[in-house]
Amino acid sequence: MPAVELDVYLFVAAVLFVCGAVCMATKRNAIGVLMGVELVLNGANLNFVAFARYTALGLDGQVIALFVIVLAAAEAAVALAIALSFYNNHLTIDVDRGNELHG
Amino acid sequence: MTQTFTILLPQTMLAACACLLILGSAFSVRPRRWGGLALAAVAASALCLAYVSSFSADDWAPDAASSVLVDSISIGYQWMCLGLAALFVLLSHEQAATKTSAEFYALLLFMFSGMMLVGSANELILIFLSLELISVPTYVLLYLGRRDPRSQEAALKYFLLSVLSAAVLLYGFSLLYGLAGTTNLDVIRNILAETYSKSDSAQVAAGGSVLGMVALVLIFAGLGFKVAAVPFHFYAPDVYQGTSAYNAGLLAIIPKAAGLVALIRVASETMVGFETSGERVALILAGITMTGGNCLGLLQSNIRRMLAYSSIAHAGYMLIGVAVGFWDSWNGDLSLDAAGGLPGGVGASLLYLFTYSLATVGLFGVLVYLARPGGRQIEHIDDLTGLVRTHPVMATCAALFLFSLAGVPPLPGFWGKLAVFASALSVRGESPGLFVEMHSGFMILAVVGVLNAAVGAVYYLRVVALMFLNDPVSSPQPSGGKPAFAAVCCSAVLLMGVGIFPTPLFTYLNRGVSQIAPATVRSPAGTLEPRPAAIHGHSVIAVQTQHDR
Repeated sequence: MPAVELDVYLFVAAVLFVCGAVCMATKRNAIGVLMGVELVLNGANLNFVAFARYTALGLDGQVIALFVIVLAAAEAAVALAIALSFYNNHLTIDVDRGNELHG
Repeated sequence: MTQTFTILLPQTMLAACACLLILGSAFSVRPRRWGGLALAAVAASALCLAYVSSFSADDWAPDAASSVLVDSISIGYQWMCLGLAALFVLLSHEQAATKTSAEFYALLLFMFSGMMLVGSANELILIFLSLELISVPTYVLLYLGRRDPRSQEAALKYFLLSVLSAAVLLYGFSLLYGLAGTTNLDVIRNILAETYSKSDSAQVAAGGSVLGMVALVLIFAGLGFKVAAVPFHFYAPDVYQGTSAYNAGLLAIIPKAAGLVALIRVASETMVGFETSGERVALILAGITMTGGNCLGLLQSNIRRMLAYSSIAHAGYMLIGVAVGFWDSWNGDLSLDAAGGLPGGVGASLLYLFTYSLATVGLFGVLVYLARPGGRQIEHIDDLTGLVRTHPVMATCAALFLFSLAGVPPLPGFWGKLAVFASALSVRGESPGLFVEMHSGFMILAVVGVLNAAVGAVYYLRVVALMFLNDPVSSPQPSGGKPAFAAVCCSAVLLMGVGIFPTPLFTYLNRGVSQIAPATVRSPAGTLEPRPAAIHGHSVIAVQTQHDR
């Protein structure tokens, strides 16, 4: 079995990044947009872990990945509260329905 | 290790008090009491900061791999944060008098603790986490106790875009980590300097490696959201309009200050070898941010929307200093003396940040104080018509703040603009020619900046004219309370003081910048190695890193 090189991981991370960005841009559901953000965050995480593993750079990258996972959980908690309260007012979490502020 | 804890004492104090407030919110205490406790927390943190700043530079043991740093920029920035924290706690006197008062102050203290942490961070992770320590409480604060559809929309918009910017920033950091192989900013600087300065200058002229350039652009995009630079500014007007004047004031100051300091630390001071591309990105961003913010600001009739565009425009002026900072870290400190006593580059940016924060906190304070009873805000600019007849003190203070933002001498806003433009003009070009050795890009930027200052003055002065020259249509009953009044007067007095006696501030910033500027490159062993004096346009940066991992 051929060894998996660093650039394969970087490529997957880049694909995740692009998928997340596209998801952010196209999804109209607030939770869907949040999922896009999680993809981007995990793409970055994959970068950190791959760099840490393949280039003998110590544990820094893996520690960052742990921090980011915890952070993403904290953000998801706040996100759900915000989405719920948005739903209470608008009876939907379609982000396009929030259109009172413009000018 | 103990040293790290000592340096972080002020931030830890604030965060610990915030935790106590959250615990205390379980008990029913009169809402007003929590404000006093929050003020006490700020005072305790100020004591800790006084203790930290009582050490001289020699007292700190050289610890190159330390994740925190202490220099005069970080100390001065933290004092500014604490001053703003005290003003904001005073302003919130009536705003926070609700059931969720304790949570409100806890979130406020968390935000300021994160803001201070950015100033002392010397690590990619620490910078990222401290920016998040600002963002997450902001989401909750935007959402706390407000049930109307507009503020919910504002909270949702801010949340989604802010999380995206954080993710993009993190991706940029991950590439930078891969490029340099460490998360410590000092070590990254030395490794990049070794890699890119000693190799052929063609690569440096091309702007470093592709990976580094992608990292640079992503970092600029992520932090551009925090400072509200133009392509990433879309949230600002909507969110400021949708939320209260108090929250808008917080948003206009805290993320901007933290984002600017993070940009200076990560980009202009650290990314040696990417000056050419960094400088270009910062130049373009500064130009379109100033122009876009000011032109759109002219069209607004909602006061918070107008202030949002004004805050965008001011981010553009601050980015001029960041662009010059890139140039400085490549060429040494040529622009420091050229500006005649004014701080140049990064220092000019920080001076601008200080003057902007002072005027902005005051202006939003006026709006908070003038809010009608029952939570109705000042919405339209016309609501301020004839303010001088009904509230002469507030009108005078507001006029001072607006004049300072417009850059009328001798108010601090003028000194900030002068320093930023002077530092842009002091940059020497690659080929000395037509105009006395000036760098064409920076010269164009300075001209655009001056034109923008003129455009910006139009909408500030329009508000001043409304307040002073027209008759009042109604006499609003202010509901802000005496502490808010005191806070506004405090910032007005401080503004006048700094405007008339700016020299100590200049001296402080000049000293701070020469201390942190890469004229002396801190090597991992903690010894300082002077960089050879720079020559026009090109310089050889000889850095010897003892970094072997």
